[in-house]
Amino acid sequence: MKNWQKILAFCVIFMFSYSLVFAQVLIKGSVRDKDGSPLPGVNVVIEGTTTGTITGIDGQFNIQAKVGKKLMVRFIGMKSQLIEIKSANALLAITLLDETIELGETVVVGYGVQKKQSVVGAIGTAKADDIKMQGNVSNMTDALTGLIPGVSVLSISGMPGGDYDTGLKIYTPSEILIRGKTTWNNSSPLVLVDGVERQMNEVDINEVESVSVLKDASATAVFGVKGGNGVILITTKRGKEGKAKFNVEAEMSFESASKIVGVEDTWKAAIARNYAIERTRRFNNGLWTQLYTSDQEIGYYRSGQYPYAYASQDWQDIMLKDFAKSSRVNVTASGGTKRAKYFASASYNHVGDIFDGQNVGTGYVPAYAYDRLNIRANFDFEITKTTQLAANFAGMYGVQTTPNSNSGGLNGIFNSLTNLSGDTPIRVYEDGVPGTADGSFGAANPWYDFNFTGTSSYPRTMVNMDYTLTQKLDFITKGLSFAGKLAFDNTFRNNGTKIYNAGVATKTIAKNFYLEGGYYDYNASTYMLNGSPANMDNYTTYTEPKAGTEGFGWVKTPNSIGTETVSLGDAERSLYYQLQMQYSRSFGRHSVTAMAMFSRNQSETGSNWPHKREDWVGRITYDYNQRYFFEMNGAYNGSEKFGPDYRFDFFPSVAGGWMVSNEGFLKDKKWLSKLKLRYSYGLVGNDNLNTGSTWPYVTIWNTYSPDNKESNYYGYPSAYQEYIRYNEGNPGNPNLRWEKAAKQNLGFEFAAFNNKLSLTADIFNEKRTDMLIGADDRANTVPPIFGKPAPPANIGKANSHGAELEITYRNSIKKNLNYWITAKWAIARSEVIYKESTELTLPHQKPEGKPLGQTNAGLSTGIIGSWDDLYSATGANNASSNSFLLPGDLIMLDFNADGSYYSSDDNVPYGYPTYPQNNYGVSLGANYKGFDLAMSFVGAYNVTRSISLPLFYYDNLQVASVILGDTWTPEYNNSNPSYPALALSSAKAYNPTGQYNLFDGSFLRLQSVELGYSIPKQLIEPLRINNLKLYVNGKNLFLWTKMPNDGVGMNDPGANYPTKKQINIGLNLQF
Amino acid sequence: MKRYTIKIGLLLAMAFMLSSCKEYLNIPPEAAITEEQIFGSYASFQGFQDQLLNNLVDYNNHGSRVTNSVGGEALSADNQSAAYGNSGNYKALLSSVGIYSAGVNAFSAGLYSSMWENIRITNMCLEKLKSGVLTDATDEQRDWLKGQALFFRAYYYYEFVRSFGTVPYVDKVLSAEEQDMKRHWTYEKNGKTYKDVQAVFERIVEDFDAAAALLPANWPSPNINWGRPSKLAALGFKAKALQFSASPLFNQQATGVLDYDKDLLNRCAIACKAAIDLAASLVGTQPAGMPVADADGLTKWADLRKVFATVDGTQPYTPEVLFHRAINSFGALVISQATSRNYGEKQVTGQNGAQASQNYMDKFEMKDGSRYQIAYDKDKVRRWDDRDKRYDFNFYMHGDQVDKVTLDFSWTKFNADGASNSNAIRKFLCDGVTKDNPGLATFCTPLLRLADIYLTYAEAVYESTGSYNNTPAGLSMTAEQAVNKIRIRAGQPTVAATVPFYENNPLTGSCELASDPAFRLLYRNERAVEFAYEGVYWFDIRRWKRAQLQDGVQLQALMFDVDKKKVIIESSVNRVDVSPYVFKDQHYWMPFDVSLTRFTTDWEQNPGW
Repeated sequence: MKNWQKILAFCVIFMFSYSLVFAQVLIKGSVRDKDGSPLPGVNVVIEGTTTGTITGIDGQFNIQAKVGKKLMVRFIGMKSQLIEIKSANALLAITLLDETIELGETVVVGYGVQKKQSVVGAIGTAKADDIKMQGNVSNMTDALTGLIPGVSVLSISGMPGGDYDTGLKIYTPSEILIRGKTTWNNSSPLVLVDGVERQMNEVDINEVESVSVLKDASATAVFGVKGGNGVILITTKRGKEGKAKFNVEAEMSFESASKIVGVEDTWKAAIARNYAIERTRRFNNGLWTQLYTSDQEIGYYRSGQYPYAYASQDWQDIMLKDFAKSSRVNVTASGGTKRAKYFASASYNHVGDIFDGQNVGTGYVPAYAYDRLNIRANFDFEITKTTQLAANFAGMYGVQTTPNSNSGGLNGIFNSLTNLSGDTPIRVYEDGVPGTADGSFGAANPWYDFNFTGTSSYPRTMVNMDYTLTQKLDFITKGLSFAGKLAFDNTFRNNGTKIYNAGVATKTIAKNFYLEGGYYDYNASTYMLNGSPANMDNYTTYTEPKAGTEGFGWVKTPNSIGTETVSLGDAERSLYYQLQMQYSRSFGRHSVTAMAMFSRNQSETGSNWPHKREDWVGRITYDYNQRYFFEMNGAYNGSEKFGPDYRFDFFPSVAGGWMVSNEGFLKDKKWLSKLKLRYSYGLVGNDNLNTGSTWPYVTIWNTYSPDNKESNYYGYPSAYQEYIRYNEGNPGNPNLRWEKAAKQNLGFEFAAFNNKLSLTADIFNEKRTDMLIGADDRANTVPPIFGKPAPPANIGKANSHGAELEITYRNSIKKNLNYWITAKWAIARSEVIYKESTELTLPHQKPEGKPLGQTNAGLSTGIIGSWDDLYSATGANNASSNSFLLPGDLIMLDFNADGSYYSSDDNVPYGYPTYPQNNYGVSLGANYKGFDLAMSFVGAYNVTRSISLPLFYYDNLQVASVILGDTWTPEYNNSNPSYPALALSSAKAYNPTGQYNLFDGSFLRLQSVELGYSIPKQLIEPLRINNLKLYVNGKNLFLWTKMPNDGVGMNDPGANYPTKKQINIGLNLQF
Repeated sequence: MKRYTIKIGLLLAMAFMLSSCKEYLNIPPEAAITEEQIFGSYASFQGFQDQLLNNLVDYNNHGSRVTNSVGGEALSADNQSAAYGNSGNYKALLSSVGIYSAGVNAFSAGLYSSMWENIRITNMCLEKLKSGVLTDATDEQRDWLKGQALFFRAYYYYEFVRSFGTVPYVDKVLSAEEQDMKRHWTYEKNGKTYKDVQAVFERIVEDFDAAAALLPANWPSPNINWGRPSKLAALGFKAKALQFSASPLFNQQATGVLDYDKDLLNRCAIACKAAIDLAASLVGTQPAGMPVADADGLTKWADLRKVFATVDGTQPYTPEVLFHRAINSFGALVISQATSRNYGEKQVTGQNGAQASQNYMDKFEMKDGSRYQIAYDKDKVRRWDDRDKRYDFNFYMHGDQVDKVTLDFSWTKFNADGASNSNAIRKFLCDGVTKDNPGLATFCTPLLRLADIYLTYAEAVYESTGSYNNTPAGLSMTAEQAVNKIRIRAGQPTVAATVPFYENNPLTGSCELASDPAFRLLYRNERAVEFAYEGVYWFDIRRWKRAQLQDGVQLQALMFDVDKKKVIIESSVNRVDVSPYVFKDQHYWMPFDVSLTRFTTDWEQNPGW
């Protein structure tokens, strides 16, 4: 027999005999995905044959096969499985898993993705689920609160729509700090959305797949100069191969103001003001006659007998709603084939107003509100086997609404909550006429201002797109690829439609009308006095809104509508492109990756000159046997802010890691899951400085038009401008160069007991040199005689250091109850080593040796208890101030021992910086069957916040409760008071408050808590729903703090929209 | 190995592809205006230099109620500059309302804050002229540019030093590192050593001198150039600089002697005469349409209002005005906003500003040259009607008819209007101009007019020689003759007829001393009357070191009630105290901003601040 005949014969014999032993049987089975939904169209083939079948619509299949054979189960986008047929009667239940790499195993790093195992930089990550736990937040910055150690979010405003400054409204946006403040220049981190520098706040949180925060030099070095303050990488979701999946999420939130400074009832304030008047009568007897409130009147305030003459209005209650309603709806769809994958998302987000705007017959409801529509479509195309194209389109349309009234000023809407007295002005009289603003008490009628001034809207549109083309270059060398990226972003901010309301007449009714027995007859709609309609002319003062300059002949003008105006000056365009070569290959135990990249960015606002930037970046990593890791990064960055000699600079970093647990000597320690050490050192730069010029290294000459109102011309008989006017711009500094930061990071990662316990610790330090200092800061060191704003210069040094720790324990009890708890703690300290200051700056006021952002204050050492004390205490530096000192005033510390207290000489560093030096958090959660519960606490300490508490603002009956509980005034019997005795500032011109307004800004808050329930599968499967989850979520529900109001970080300008707490109910539906 | 070669080659290729990258970050050529573009030709150089106009002062034209009437001339509501000034709150004056106006930032900037920027510009102009970058200009045009730069450097110093005292004379473009700035310094010249503030004035005088040699007497093409500093302006300011330098306050800061410096006075008189002679020679050369001056170069009485205000859309300008800040704004806005904010009265301008204080009004003589007496308050003829013509020229009184308005300054009315006294200042308003009848009205305060040169001459001659009717050596005019030119225009009796009224007759509560010779009282009073509300008085009483005599004096208002026909009830006429005037030693010099004084021990704060 020839060879092939032998083989054939053998086969035939073999098969025959085989069939004798194992007869063919009918095998039944079903195929599902990991969520449990049946997978139709799955290939089921007997291994080694072409015999097979395809699952039906219900995922079921039948196949004739023999016991002992193996079935190959295959489906696009899923990992194939080989199932052995063990018995003839078994019903095979097969679950296919997604083929895509799970993100948990990799980490998004600068310009790429790395295996988590081989990461040597300090990188913190948060996933979609963590972010969504934060409740219904429309602002990505706030969503990061407490998620990642070393990242602190400073927020003191709850303004819907966030930090868009209309130029008229004053409030401070949320700020984000990574590892504290390390420079006096802009400390904001670089934010990239899908690899492109973009605004973070308008990204819808449902679109976010992951957030990576790069903290040390090794991680940020590839961003070179831009990464000096850390980098936040936001990656949006992408489609996965497989059938279409839909996710619908709807949330409804109920929001109310978080902690606001408490104010006293009118009658209590009246008693307090009486004490103050009695005490300061010697200085201003007039106030005694004008303002002293008799016991009888205090009785009226207290009893509410004359609510329109002796009113006790609770402005917080009047101005704020019980709760505001916000809502969010999000729909996403994703799926695709190997050739084309898609992820699409649409979200609508409405943020309601906690202020109680009303349609008071004006035809509109004024509100601070924000409505936003986000749309995103991310596509991945496989053009050829080696060519891939990713295209992302994102659009946002948001409309911020505000009333036209002045919200930020001292008499504005926001301050009305704390600065206004309960008795004046009257919000609205019985007949519906609002009370007139009371000028003598600095009291606008906020209810009137809010409701009768019209509304404005400010639409913003953002259209972002980016394309990435990746070409594998394996034909040159295996593992090489090329990627080109192009991004084009546009933002438009317009002045939207407006309603102008000229207002209505307001009035004030004299107190004696009510005291004489006058009242309003609601049935007859008239004011009555002594049984007959009153002649109100004798009692009423009307105030008409001003028309023109005069205010005479006023007629109520109808509301007018302002149309939307395009403001081209606010249009932003940005063009970004990058070219990137990547190489990744393993040679046995050696793995090597390399990356080289070039990018340019050009962005412009309005018709300003475009801002340009150019970066050259490279990275090499090496990994030996998954035990030793080595990484080198370099960025060669150019900034248009510096002259040709200093324009480009090289910022390198090196890092190494050692996975100790992969060493042979530890291989048999089964309890040890992971032990890794890593270290990085590198240099990053910063050119982020407000210099007043795009090209601060050189003096720019300009042309300009003189202010034509105030002349500036020559000529007779009329003034005339003959020549083009030129002037000198801000003088440049040709030696201006990069601010540099040398960063070190030592990290330690540990996991044990099958990863049940894990711990990550990092310690770091940073040295900044050549720190940039701008014209504003140099105003005192380069005196005005120079004749121009000082040129910016590299004059300064600062150091910082700190540590981060994160410990997680997770476990399951009887497989049904899973629970986990994570604790995070981060500390960051900074110290100014050198900062230019004037020769005559007093030593204790020099910035050196103190943290960046140090708080300064005059200090009080106690309270003058008696006249004896007064004569022996150090006084103020001038006689007129001293003449106002009384027992009960603060003894101010004469720090420079020159015999008197003078704020500009004796103020010293006090407390902590304005941002927290220490942040911590604990989050924990559990799930049991369909239920899951998670909560997260966030806290901070070592922070000082300045909150100016007004007292008798404009002499009115306004007292913050905190003050009454802490004043020296003997009538209040406070033990160990720290606030001086009560005084009217109009009577007493010198009222030092020392450090009183500087509060310990420490806090602990229940940042979020969520309880969810997933409906059991068997109930929803018939409806073709994969998952249905209902949840209740709370945000900022409890706050423990010594501060009188809720806010973190920056000093309170006293003019912010209150921060909020929130309860959400929501559902999540997947099918 | 080959693979790596390919790889490296590829990277290199990429690098080459993208070379020329350094240029990408360069300033776009369109954004970079070169120095040649600016300083290369006369027209563009002049355009650069003309930004100096931005900070030119107009004492009375300002958005923030700023006037230099802080010597007690005017009363105004709290937190207006007159009130700040009268109460001695100069820090607030500087930081919140400003003391000098300027167009760039009407509310807070002004000369004070932009002084050094102006000096930088003038020095830059001088350096660029020297550097040869200017190619497209005639020699005459070069002279004009240089003359203007010198003029402005001297002018801005003159304005600044008058208020703040000695400062370094910066004559180059400073670098940010140059910090060698001593407030106190000396200057050697002609064998003499000038100290401190007199050293500064010497440099100022030098610059004015040099400017006078370069500047034209009359600018060609007046329709585009009239108002540029001329030879006459440079000579005039030179005289003023010498006058200040010679005056007791400044002489005392420099030498410790509280008296006039006679040598400087002589030089001042000569400078005055040079200016007066030049002015006389220019009579008749004014542009078409401008009022013609008399033979002395002074504006005729009938045209005098045109020095301060117009209503026909032309600039307020006559040949008597040596320098002012040009005006390009006319009509309702000017009348109902800007003017009124300084000297407005609701019934006239629609807004309330400052009113004259009764103390200052008392300086206006009677028609016969005798001094006003408080007893005349009750005399309805002598009170207002029997006065110097300039009284009517300066003030609207109760019952005056302006356009359709009959002014009511009864106590109840002016109080309701928020006014502080029963008058309205009319100097800067053409006849009949009200808020409802603004026409094309505008106004302007001369920075220097020839009348001041005549009175400066009189002061210099008299204080150096002690005689007002002797002709000084080398000069042809007596002090008396100089003062008479001004008095005769106003229709007042001559000095000879008036001097007896001043003998031992100082006004109570004024800056006058009983020991002062009569002619001194007279010429000083003449200055107060002639230059009322032109920002002169406060400088004068400081210069003479007399301002502290007014400290604690109550500034007064005249109040009265009217009957139903708006006729004054004479029995109700009453002079009342409004607010005390504060002037301590420290008020002789303005306070510097701490940014200057914290900078170095060499730059000390003025005493008392």
